[in-house]
Amino acid sequence: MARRRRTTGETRVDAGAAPAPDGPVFHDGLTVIETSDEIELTSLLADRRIGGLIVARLGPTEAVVLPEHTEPLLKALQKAGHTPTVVDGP
Amino acid sequence: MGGPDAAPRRIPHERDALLAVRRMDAVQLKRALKRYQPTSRASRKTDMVTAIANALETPSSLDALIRRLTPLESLLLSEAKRHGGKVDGWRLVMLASLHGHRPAVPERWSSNAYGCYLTRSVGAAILGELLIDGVLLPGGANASWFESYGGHTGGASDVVRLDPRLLERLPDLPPPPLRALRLEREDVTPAPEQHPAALVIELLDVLHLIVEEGGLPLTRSGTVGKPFVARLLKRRPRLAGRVAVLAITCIEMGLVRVPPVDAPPKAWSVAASGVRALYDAPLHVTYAAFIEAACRVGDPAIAEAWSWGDGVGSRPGAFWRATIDALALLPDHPVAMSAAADALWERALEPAFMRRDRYGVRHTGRLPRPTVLTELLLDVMPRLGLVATAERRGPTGEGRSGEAVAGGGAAGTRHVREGMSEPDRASHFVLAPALGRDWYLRARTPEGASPARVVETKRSADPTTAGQPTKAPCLLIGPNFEVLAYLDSLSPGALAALACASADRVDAHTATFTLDQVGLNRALDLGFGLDELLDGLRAHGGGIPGNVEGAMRAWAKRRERLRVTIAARLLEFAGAGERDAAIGRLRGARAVGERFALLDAAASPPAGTTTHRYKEAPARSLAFSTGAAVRVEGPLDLAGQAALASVTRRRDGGSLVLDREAIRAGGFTVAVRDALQARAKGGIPPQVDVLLGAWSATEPKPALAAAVVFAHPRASAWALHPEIAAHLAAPLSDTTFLVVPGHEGALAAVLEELEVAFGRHLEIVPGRLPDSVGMQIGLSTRRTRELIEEAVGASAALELRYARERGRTGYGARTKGKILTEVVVPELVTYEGSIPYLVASTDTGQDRLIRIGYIEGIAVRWSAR
Repeated sequence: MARRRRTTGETRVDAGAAPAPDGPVFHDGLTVIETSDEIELTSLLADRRIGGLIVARLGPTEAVVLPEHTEPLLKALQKAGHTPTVVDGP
Repeated sequence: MGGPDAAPRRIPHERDALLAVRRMDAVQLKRALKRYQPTSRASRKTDMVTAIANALETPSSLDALIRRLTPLESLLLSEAKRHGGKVDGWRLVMLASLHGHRPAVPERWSSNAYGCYLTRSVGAAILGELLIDGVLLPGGANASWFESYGGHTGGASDVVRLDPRLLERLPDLPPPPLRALRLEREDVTPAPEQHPAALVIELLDVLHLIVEEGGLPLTRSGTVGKPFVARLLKRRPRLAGRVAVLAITCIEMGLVRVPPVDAPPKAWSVAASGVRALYDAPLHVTYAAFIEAACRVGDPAIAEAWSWGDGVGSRPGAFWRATIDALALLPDHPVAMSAAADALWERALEPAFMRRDRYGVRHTGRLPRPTVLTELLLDVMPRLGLVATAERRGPTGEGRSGEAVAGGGAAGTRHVREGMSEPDRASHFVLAPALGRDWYLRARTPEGASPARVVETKRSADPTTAGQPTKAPCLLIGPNFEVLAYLDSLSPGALAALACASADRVDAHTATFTLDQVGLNRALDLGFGLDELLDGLRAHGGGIPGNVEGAMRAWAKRRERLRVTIAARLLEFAGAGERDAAIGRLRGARAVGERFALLDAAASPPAGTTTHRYKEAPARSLAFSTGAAVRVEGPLDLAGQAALASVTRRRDGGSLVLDREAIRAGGFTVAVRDALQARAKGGIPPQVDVLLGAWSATEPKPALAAAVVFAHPRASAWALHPEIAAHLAAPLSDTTFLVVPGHEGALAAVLEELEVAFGRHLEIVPGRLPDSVGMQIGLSTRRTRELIEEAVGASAALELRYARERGRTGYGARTKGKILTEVVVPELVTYEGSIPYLVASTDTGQDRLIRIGYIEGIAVRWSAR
């Protein structure tokens, strides 16, 4: 049976699903996408090939991707004609 | 060099001569002591080691050692110094041979070295004294100059090293000039097949393609993946037959990062810093590094030819490089190929590679010139741009001119050469040094960097080889984004400016590039700046057309619209206020999103911070109840939060419950299910999972309908009757069949005609199917055991028809006893020897030990437990 397309990336992580932590929480190993404006990120999320790989939106112009989806994301961005600046984290 | 008696200082290093000295036996130690401290009278081992240690720490003692060196030793150590203190020993052997040193091969060595016997070979005769005396430190005991352990097999290491303290004291001496061979001039002027700059351009082009392909995929056997080669060939047909070799050469040059042995299989990425250093190095140094790497990579045909040679030792790569070194002896004018090969072999190669066999039998007279030398001179060296060849004109004028041969390309030349016998091949050709030889030799002079260490090379101070533009532009940039590069005047600066272009065509004197967005992105990824590239193009091309510069600026600007940070370190705060307050205290952190901070490598998260590592399995912190409620019982990562948010809502009390509307709207996807499954304690309960599947329409709808069944303990036997079978549909089990809808009356008529009495009522007990209905009969013991194990795992009850086992407690044979049918709760499967048993209990609490092989019928009752 055909699955519906995923829309996870459109979820904001501040949706209140989890209890608020007592202090800061450290997230190690995610891939962060930053765009120059909100419309750019919204259009990325609307792209079936790219939006499906984004796990959560952190803000108007920022989103995150799981490490296992980084390579597919870069390929999808390239296929869609985007030319991102790719920075290897620490 | 410091002063002769400068204060001793300890140099931190691993390759300490003292470590080697400590492994020497007494005889070798005495020799080393005589070398380092000739005046010492120490005789005990520990005293001798101490004396040598003192000599190593005393500059004046090392200077005295250097003054006592023989001219041959001085030549060898100076060469080792030019290579940074670590060099392939064959290079030293070849250098000695080129300068005419012919030390006698000792009949017997006075000492072994570190417990290994030295071979009776020219190589050992040249290096042996320095190795025994602990001045040169061997890279391994299985080198070519040690008897034993397969000296020239694949695992051998011919590297020799210098102690860093001795290296520091050695003077920087240029190699003495070589005396060229006296060979008669030929009247044919050969043309080179390859310009050395063209080879550098091709190497960089392959590197660019590897970057664009996302890395270099290698198979488990270490070869380049065929699909990758096919993709590259599609883009660069001119590299046919060379893609894989060039890619492996990139690895040899350290331009591709070799992943750890235990890393998961993944394409090997290009080392951006190495590529950048390659662009910064003078062209001749890059070319020499490429030639060095090509020797190490080798060629199957040369390896095969080498394996058929007799009387020579070492690996083919060593002979390959020695042949290149020997090209320094060629005169600058064209010479007959056979005469040149004979002279090179006799003057330099044969003396260096001649060796005695392990029984000490010496080869008398000269060894014949091996086939592999002709192969190298005629096929390999021209392709590497080191020599130029031409077919020699015969006495009657037959044959082709050198230009015709070179113009035919490498493949055409080889075609002409094929089918000739070895002497024929050599005697039909003329050989002359090409520009590549001069570039290679220039890179080995003291002012040229060591080609093996090109990645460490700084920009040359020579403006003709550094980034400074030359007087005449070497690039011609067209408004159609094409760049024409003149190879003869190409400088590293111009080549660096072309890092943002793709090489389309390379011929004898020019190369054509195209400036495009992909190339610009790749160059920016490799660390080039846009202005740096534009300045380079402007300086070396005499200006850039306005439309080209405008397009390049637009491409770069477009790139800035999207930034992807891989393996980021994020700190999440409860709100923007807390984040902004904390960010001042965190060094190298910047705000991201509404309440996150992105940390750089130097910043560390506060102590005691909850941590989620996304390259590891997530923590199981979700608990699902059968009532569709979800509890978060621990730290939940961002993927878990996002998945939970897409399928739950908060009730008035604050607890989370599955949100049917959100799920129906598409919130429950495969990825969300996987995320929840990975974070749920014990996984998502099956009854919740099917509900989620039904709400999200990701699974088929359950069906609820009335049906007529035909039930009998031997229903499958009834189904063999043709008149009955005509009215039966699919079997539910061996005991129960569905009746074809609408055939109930017909089946009843058949049974009446057969005078078979039948009931029209099944007794339905809640939580339990009618006796034997749905039971699977006649399963194998293995399949029965698997079903039982599934039931144990799913906490389901079992309805079993089985035979009790008789004779378990006595000595007699165990046989089947009374047949029972009952519902049991399975606990575990155990074994007596190889016989599996089920440990179970009945609903009245009685224990059962049932031999699984004696179970005749089994049905899993999900709701009976």
